[in-house]
Amino acid sequence: MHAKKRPVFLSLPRIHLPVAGVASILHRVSGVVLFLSLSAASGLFSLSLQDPAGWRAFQAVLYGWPGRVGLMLVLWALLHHLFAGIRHLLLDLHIGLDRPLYRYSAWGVLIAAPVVALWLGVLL
Amino acid sequence: MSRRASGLHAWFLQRVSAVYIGFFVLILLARLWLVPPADVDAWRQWVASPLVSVGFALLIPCLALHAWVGVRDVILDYVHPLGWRLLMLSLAAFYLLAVSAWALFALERLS
Repeated sequence: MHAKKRPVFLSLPRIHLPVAGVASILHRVSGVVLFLSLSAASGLFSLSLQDPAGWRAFQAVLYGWPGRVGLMLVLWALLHHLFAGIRHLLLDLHIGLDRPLYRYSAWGVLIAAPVVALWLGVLL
Repeated sequence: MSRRASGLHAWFLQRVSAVYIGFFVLILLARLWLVPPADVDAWRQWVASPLVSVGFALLIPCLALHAWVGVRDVILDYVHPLGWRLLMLSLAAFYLLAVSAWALFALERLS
């Protein structure tokens, strides 16, 4: 119909994804990270419940540095997915749909997830 | 499954499972932070207690369902050739079933 008149504007450096868009794509990325981490989560859960040797092996994994880095990544993914999910549920209820709050809440999710992940990663 | 887990059904299942998973994960993190299990016996006893084991037993299918709806959306968005799509969807489904069975067996061994 109007296909020929439509402006095609795909200069990538000039397209700025709004902050809510960044939070949204990271919701998806964190979901995939969590999906992939389910095998490790199941394995570690199973190992930790097995016997004293399994528990020690579980702790060795968790306190070794590769495990710590992995844990931090999964914690970030979990918290981002959780916070962005809560934001989504509130949007479904028509809470925070308007401009200033809509953007602030996206910033809040983006900042809170890594901060709380670091904090929990040090605590646990 | 695919008919039941599509459209409004999927949207609804995604949100109900999300609420349960969210609450459970928050309680789990809070408990591990406030009262870290001292040894394997304390940990096993806590997981085996009625409320917690039922909580985990419900968490596992909720997670599998939630992950299935989400990953299916991702695959349908990015994988277009039919053969690849079917392959990826089957792999995701098998993966989720295997992972769920693994966690459920670990839980079952406690009782």
